[in-house]
Amino acid sequence: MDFLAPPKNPFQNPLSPINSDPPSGTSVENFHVYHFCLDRNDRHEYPDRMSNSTHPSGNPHHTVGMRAVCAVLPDSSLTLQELADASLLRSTVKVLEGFAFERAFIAPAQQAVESLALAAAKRALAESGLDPKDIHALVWAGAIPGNHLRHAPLTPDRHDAVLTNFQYIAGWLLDELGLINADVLAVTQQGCSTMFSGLRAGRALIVAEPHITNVLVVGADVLPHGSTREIMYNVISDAGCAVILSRDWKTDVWAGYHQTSRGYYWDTLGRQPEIIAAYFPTSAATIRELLQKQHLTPSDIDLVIPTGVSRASWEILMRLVGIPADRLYVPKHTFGHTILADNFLMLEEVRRSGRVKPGAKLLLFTYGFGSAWTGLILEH
Amino acid sequence: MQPLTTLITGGTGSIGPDLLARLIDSGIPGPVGVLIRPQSDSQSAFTRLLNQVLAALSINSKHTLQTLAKTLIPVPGDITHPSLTTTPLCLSGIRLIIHAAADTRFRAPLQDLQAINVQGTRHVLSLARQCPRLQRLVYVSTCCVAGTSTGLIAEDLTPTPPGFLNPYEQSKWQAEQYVSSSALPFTIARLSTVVGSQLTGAISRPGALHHALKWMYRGLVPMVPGQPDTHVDLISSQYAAAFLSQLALAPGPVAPVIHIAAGPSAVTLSQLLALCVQTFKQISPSWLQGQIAPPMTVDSQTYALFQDSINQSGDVLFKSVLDSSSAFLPGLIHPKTYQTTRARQLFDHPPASMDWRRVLPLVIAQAVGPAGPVVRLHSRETHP
Repeated sequence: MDFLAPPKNPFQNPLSPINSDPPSGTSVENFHVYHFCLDRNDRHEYPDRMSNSTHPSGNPHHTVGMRAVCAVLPDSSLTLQELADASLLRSTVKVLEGFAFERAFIAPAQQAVESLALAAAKRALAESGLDPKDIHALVWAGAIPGNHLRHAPLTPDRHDAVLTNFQYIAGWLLDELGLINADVLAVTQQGCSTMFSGLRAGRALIVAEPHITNVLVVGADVLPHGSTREIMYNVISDAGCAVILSRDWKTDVWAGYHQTSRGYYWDTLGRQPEIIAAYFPTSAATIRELLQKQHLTPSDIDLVIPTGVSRASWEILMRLVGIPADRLYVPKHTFGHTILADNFLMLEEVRRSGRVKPGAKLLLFTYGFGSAWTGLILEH
Repeated sequence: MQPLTTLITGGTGSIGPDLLARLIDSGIPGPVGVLIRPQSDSQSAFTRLLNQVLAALSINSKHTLQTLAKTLIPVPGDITHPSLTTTPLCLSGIRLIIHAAADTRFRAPLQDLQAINVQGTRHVLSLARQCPRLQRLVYVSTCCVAGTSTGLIAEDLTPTPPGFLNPYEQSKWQAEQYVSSSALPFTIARLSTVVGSQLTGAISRPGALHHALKWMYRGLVPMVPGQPDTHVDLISSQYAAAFLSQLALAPGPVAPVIHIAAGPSAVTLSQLLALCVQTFKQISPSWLQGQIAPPMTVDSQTYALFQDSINQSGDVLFKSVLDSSSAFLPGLIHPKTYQTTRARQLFDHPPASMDWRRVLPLVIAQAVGPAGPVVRLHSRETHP
């Protein structure tokens, strides 16, 4: 095999077993596959879109499913009235009650983010039954820059102080969880979509790198202490979540993803009204494109796993896309809007209920500052 | 004051200059009295009007400012005054009255609108009854009196009120009832939405449509109610003036109601939105780069849910956007086409309908103007 040139059969990777048939439940369309040569000095990377094609031999298709989904909320919460009394809301209690908000879960000031992240990750590992050393990559997802670092004791030495800027939570998680075989990477700057991108990166690792079988994606965000608890008419809770993606896992299989990014809306302060106005048309367009990519119709979606933003906005969005209203999941518990854990709090509830049939198509969708509108389809 | 042959109210309004120019081009015998509200700069206001009329006259016209000033005579007055003016008028020579003055604020309180649109009209009718040689009273109304009616809207009197979308429509319908029961030689001319000049797109007085366009350009209109093939009836000020002038000077009897509208050749909602996006892309890099999503066309129920959520939020800016758009957008969920047969029968060769593909981009560009930052308001409303 000449490693200096792409193989004649782009679907034959000499480093991985050749499967003649794709695993069941795998969609063969619109996969991007990157092939890497054994000798990294002669690496050739090229995208190969496998769409509507059959493969004579060599099958790099990989089902990627969610082996574990866990999310955690802080123990303590404040009601809307308590938030208002503490001047942590901009709108009135009545307005927010009208949007079906009840309370915000707020993490205590110290060590909040890493505690939530660690708790979610531990639960996910326990649920998966995996040994920590079987995790091959950790993807850290965090929207707020201040949440990427471990809380460190103050040091009087200003030369050492700069080092605290590099005390990453991701590295600390590797240590705490005993993930001795995991590579680490981090995803940020997508607001509430950050976890979706973390999953996208994790799944891409599994698809692209044969030695990566299990990826732990962990996300947590906590608003700075004393922050307003209302962002654009949404009551914000703190939370953490963790998902373990595994190769050839048959539950909640990754079945499609689409993201719309619009840099025009980077200015969350100066373009607040435009961001609010852009939400519906861009969300609807993103979901439609996702469905189209996967050759699905709106009625093919069996269940929509929403975020915790105003339920009325979900009813409008369902109408805009044409998904029947009764397909919108109604969670048992409400928790406000948790920046990046909403969909996974609800997905965990769905999985534990056992009431959704295998093979059902689930649509997860969220909008994140930056801005990014992201949709993900899973086959349950 | 010298005896007048014609009295016009609303001569300084959005179609006033074009209408006066068409009447003069058609050879209307002077002098023509133009009711104008007394104000500190009345003289300069009237001079401005004369200049506007001069600019709108046909290129063959030999009129100058001086000759126009002999044909068009300012009549200080106000239609809210029972006799319109305190200036002694010789009414014996008046053969034509065109009553175009109106309060066109869609969302003003009904009482305020009635004071001008209904009471003002009654005052004009009262004066008209004192004109022994009156041959025609043209009452300039609006196609919006059709309210929530749908389908083909006939050029007929409507003694039964339809549902109304705003107080303006209601006040104009009420005024029509007084006109039609006045026993005067009347014709009611209902205009559809006047968008501006078909030559330059210039807008003398922005209306609900222009405000909606401005908000849309700024990316603040996520959805509009209606069907893609809903007609959006738009005409130019020149088109309106041509028909009104022809109607005013037509020999012989004229139908009691005519529609000055685009009718079946009106632009559709999907065509209008596409034209908006196309024009926005020529003005704005953000639109050109596809960064801003165009509004979606949605059914009435979805739009109502969206309105509810905005009202629930109490967001001052979006309420303002919704309020100014609500004067125009809700009409789109009551699709209708205006019959224009009787209007077109005024002409041997009726003027061509406004070429909306050429004119609307000009209007849109004028309406959106230079873009500035959108200011969020938390304490008070503002008009767009």
